[in-house]
Amino acid sequence: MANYKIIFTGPVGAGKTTAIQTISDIPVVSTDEMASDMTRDRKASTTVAMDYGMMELSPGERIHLYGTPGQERFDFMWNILTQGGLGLVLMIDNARNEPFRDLRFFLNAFKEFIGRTSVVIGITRLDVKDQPTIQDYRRELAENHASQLPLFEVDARRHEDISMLVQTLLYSLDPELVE
Amino acid sequence: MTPHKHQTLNVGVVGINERTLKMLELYFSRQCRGRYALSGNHQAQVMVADLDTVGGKKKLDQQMANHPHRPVVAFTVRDMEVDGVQLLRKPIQLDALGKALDFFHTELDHEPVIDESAFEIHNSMDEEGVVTAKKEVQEEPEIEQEKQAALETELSLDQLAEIEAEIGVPPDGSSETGMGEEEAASRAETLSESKAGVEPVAEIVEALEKEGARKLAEGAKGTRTATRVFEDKQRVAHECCGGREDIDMADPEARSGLFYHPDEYLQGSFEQAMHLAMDKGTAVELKMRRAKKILFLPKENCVISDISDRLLRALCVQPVKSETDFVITQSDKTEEWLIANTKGEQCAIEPLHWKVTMWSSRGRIPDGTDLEGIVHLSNWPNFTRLMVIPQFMRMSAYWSQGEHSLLETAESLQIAQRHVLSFYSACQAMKLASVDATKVTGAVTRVALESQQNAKNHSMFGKILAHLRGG
Repeated sequence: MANYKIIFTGPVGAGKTTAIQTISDIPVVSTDEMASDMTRDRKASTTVAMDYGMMELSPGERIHLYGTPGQERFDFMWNILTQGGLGLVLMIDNARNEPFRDLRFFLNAFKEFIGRTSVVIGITRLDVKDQPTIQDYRRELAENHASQLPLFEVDARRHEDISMLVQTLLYSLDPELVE
Repeated sequence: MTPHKHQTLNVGVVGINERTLKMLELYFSRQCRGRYALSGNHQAQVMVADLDTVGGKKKLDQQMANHPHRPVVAFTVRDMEVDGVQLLRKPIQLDALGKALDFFHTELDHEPVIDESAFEIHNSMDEEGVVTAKKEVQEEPEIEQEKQAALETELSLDQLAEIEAEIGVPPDGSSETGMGEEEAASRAETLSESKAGVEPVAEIVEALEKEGARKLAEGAKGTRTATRVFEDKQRVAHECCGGREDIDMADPEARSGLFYHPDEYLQGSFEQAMHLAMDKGTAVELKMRRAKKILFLPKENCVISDISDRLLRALCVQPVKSETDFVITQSDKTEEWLIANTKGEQCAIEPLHWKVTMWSSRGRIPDGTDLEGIVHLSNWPNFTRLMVIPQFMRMSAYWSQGEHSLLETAESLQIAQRHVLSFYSACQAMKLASVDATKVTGAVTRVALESQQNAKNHSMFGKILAHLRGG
């Protein structure tokens, strides 16, 4: 069975779960739903909430969609989770206090993975808070020598938006790609 | 030239009451000008259904079983999804129906014409002959639509205005918000405070995948909507780069046809008005013939326009004839007042600027652009809010990863010249791209797939793309 995975990351509330749900062929599975089952016999352990979705391309060919835990204290997991990943979808919540800090943090945290693969950035909730603008983000990327990274305004609930993020990720990995 | 089979689209109906049927009949005959006609269900190319009438759904199911490839548009008051059906919420809005039918019209127009006699000949031809014949048919609608758009400017402004007034072009004002704080908070992302107390990641991953497989086996469906195919293909099918054929670059005469001067088109006046508004910080109006206008509101970073896309496109393709074609005036009213008192659709400046440039460019680049110079893409366009075809994403990726010229891009990525040049023109107008004429690329070198793994990924990525686009 051919299995590939795409990683969705970003701070809490940026829309990772919604984005996965938007393109998944199954309802999103979250570890917090399964926590009681998994920890039944292990009182000492608890489970970090992660989200999982899937696209079934054909029988036996699946793309796993993983949403990382957004909180920084779980960054030790990210390296493990990204192993074998095709690329990274980074969701940034524009309505948070310091979205540029979030952007820098996640780009840095996944630097090695991005270097090996590719990243695409989706900015959510620009309709809730219109500053900073996409133009401001472009300047921020330029200041961090990362202006070549694709960055779009997205609504995590819109299939078109999330589809375009993933399509862009694929084209970034292989510009010669044709459907 | 091969005639179009689908110039008038035959529309069949299922579960439609008499009143609605009459309304459809009037709409098709008066406002669609022969593009659609009600027909018997045997001749129908598209079905329109009402899922709320008694037995409507059952009848539709039967129709779909008999004609599984026939597109269906259905009205309903309910919040539901039906695979393969483009659902439109009631109350019935004719403009939404028109858009859905236009989409299918385009789709069917792009299908190769099945001419019985030609089919016999094709059967006796070699494979290459068949492919060539199909290609000719596929390219034809672009040319016809270009001509039609140009004609409309001169002949049908009144008709268009009348249609717009009658049908109404409702603003896409459905303000969608992202995920709220409460929702985010309720999805608490942690159940633990320390690494030591966390379930091993591999175990979690395995459990998630098992649960996912179970849900898949159960037949549980995600939230991918039945409309996704419609939305994606509609976007892809959008006519944004004209129908200009690739030319022989060694032919200087043909080559000179690749250039245009933005100031000789609506694009020039649009940009002049936009820059004036930005520089002065006040509202600026761009007036056109027949009292149509675009109002630039720099503080809100938006425009209010009472021009339909169709008319705007028609205006863009024609060179400016006289100085009175477009008149630019500064407004002494506040933006708040203008927003409250101006009729028209409000939208961000950038997407409209993008469209105006695309339609003015139509496969050409501004005078003086060096076709062999290196393209520098400073940032990716905000694709999710622009009129986009997949080739634009490929080019952006290509330009952001290496030094390539416009000509080499077209050759190397096997993309039509018109797509490359239109895309560059729009990026350049947005100040996202420029050409460095001091640097030129060498011979075209197609990037060969390096390994078996790359080839495998290439195939897998193609499948993901098809899946995302509703394949």
